[in-house]
Amino acid sequence: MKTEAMKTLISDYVNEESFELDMSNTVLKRIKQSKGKPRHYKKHVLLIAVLTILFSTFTFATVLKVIELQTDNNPVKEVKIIPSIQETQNNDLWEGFSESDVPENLKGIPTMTINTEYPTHGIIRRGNYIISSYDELITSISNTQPLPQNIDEYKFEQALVGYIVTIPTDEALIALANKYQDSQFYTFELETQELVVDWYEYAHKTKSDAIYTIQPTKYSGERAFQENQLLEYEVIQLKSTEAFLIKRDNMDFSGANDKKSKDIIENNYQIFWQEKEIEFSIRPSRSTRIYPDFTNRKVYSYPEHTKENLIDLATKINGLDND
Amino acid sequence: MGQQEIENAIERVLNGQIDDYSLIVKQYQKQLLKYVRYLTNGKCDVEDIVQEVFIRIYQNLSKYQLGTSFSNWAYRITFNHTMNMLKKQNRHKILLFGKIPEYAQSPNSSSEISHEVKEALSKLSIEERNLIYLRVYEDLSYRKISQIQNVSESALRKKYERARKKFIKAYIKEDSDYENRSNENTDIRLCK
Repeated sequence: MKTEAMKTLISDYVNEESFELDMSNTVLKRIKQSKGKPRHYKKHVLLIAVLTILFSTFTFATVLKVIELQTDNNPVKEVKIIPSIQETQNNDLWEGFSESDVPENLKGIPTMTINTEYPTHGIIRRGNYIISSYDELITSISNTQPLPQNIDEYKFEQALVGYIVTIPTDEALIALANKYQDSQFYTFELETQELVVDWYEYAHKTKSDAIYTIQPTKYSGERAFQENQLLEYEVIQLKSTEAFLIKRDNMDFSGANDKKSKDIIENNYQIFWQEKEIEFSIRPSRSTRIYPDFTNRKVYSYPEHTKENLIDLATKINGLDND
Repeated sequence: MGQQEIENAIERVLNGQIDDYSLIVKQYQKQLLKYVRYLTNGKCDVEDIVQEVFIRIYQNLSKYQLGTSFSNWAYRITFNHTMNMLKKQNRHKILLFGKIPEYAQSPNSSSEISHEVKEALSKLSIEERNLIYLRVYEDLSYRKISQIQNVSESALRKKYERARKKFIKAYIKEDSDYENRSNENTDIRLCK
């Protein structure tokens, strides 16, 4: 049988019954009786997202409250500026700074420690962090160094006072996460690996001293940003004795609208970060949810990385502490 | 009504002018009635199904992507709903150990050819019937059908070819059976 013949047969069969009824009134009547409006799924999704964010914020706010209660009687005594040799070698932004750069007027009052033991040149490609409780160090993990043969060689004790734990592969990270899955360590993952930022927290308290980790942010991903070489220091003040810093380095803007991004960054840093915060949100891979509180976030921008700017930043941060 | 007018009507409905939904119903009711009648092959109450389909379309109207074929979208919803209805009916059939009643059709629907086509179609699954409808009657390209069905084009071609051969085989058998029956009747009449 040829297709045309088949078509005729089917058409004749389909068309043999002519439906003359009009069901529009019945349908309308049924709609009006039952539903009223079409479902707006997008609104539902939005509502769920808002509720999730609210719940997450509430959870972290509770954690913060506990921390606050624990540390209220533990004021900042001293903060130092200590650029490391390693940092100087790896990032010329810090070249020429030393502890002696701490100006006299900042000594004796809460000052700032710039801990540059962290390799700022490396992007955390794996995007994972293992954090302990907030009274201990929050360790950042980068893939810039080879993995020790034995996972037990990770010096967590050292890490707790500022050493980097290097996890170069996903497998190693998983192994490490598994190792500590029953302890108070939590594994975090970044949503994206492409636009990953070197995000780490360092809110370590040693004795009565607070350590602030301040890292410069240099936009080096795009020529447009290189022209300006803007530096941003984002400090999140969690409580009187601790500050969190978000460092963004080597950002890849290849997928972004350059001009728009540039304009946003130049004209309104706060908006830019707020937008990116969503993109770089951190989600826990396990049930425990601990999120940084971004509500008290402060962003400081400087046209270049100079001693004066750093000192200005230190003063501002200390001003935060005094609030 | 053209695609643009349909989309305008949809927007008005979504903005609360529910009465304008009647325009969409009027535009597509015949098309969908024929489609469902074909798919069910007279095994369901076509009007009930199509009414239900229009309510589902209404409820999901905000999901419809403007700029795409409304007709294809409606076909998809209709097919899914009809398939569910047939499945439900089959479950009832098993439970009741009975035969599904044939729904009343218009008097002119029982031509000889129609009967043979209907019998041949009954040998096909609903998916196969659907493919033949969209491809042969609606003359849709494989690409469009693949969008409606959400399957790959190559898989669709194979399925269609199988369905077509199955239909032809079933139809030819029905046709020869019918001829045999006709001859027998003629012989009986001659004997009388």
